[in-house]
Amino acid sequence: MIFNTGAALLDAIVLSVVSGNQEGTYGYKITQDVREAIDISESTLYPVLRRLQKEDCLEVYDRAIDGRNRRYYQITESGRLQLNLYRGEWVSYSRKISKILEGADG
Amino acid sequence: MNRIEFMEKLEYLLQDIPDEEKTDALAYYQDYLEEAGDENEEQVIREFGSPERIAAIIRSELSGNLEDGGGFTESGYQDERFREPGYQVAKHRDLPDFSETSESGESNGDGRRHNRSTDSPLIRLLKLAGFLIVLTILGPIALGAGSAALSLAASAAIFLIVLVLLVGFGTLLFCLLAVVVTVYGIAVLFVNPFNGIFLLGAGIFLLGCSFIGMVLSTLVYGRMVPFCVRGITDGISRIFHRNRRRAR
Repeated sequence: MIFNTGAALLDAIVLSVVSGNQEGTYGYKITQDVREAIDISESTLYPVLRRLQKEDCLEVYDRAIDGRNRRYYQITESGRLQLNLYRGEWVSYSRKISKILEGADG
Repeated sequence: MNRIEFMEKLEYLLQDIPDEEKTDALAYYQDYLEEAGDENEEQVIREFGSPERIAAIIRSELSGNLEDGGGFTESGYQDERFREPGYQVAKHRDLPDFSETSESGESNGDGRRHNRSTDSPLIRLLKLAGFLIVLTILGPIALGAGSAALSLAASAAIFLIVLVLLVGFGTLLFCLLAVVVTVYGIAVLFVNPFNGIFLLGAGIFLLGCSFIGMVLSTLVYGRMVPFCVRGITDGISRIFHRNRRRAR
């Protein structure tokens, strides 16, 4: 892909991926899920997750798996509000862009 | 580098950040590597780049300026600030996974690299041929213009050199004259006071002139001459570098 993904769009993707799991999800899984859409590198998400956590959009809890703790991320109420905002923005933005890009042919 | 070595190095590099941040970051990357599993460990660490790069990314988030620099592109996080020599983050773009995607024919969001890769050997050869043709046609004209420019540059250079020498010698001359006139003035003072005072005044005036000369000399020899020399050597090295690039 040749289009850049800005920080806000990446936030939106991450929030959406996390919100898709009721019990929360963990760093490696989030990375692999995000990678289905955009080709981010393995190291990319930590700062994003940490920032979203500090902004109270995500919360973490540890759960014992195979004798060690796995850190789970879960979306918070304000995270959900933020995600809804992003979704609304995305719908109108992508609609406008599609209209221009696809309308030129027809 | 295996998982344990990577984590030890990362922990060492994060010694000075707040404990809470350090624990959180280390837990995340430790967790990440464990989730990736033994079979992916090597690939994931390769994609991390280096512990230095990861540490730099963690730090940039801490200082809260991750958002204003760089951006997430499809080929990963790109931030010019992480490309400083100390951080080895320049490796980022050369990581194997990126070259794999460019081999598979996908552009990687980096226009410059994309352009370079489209230059096939045939096109390069054609460009070279075109360049040679242009050179043969325009060569003689350029030669004439070049020699005119060269002679102009040479006369300018000679003028500058003369100016530089003049400033130096002038200063020395003024200095010498000032001393001679002042000493002579003191001697005359006893014989003919008026002439003596006049000569002393002239001596002091000359001394003043020599001071101005000294200031000018320090400017010329301390600033201008090194500047010119640097400019000339830069120009020459640039010509050589350009030739080398063209030859490639």
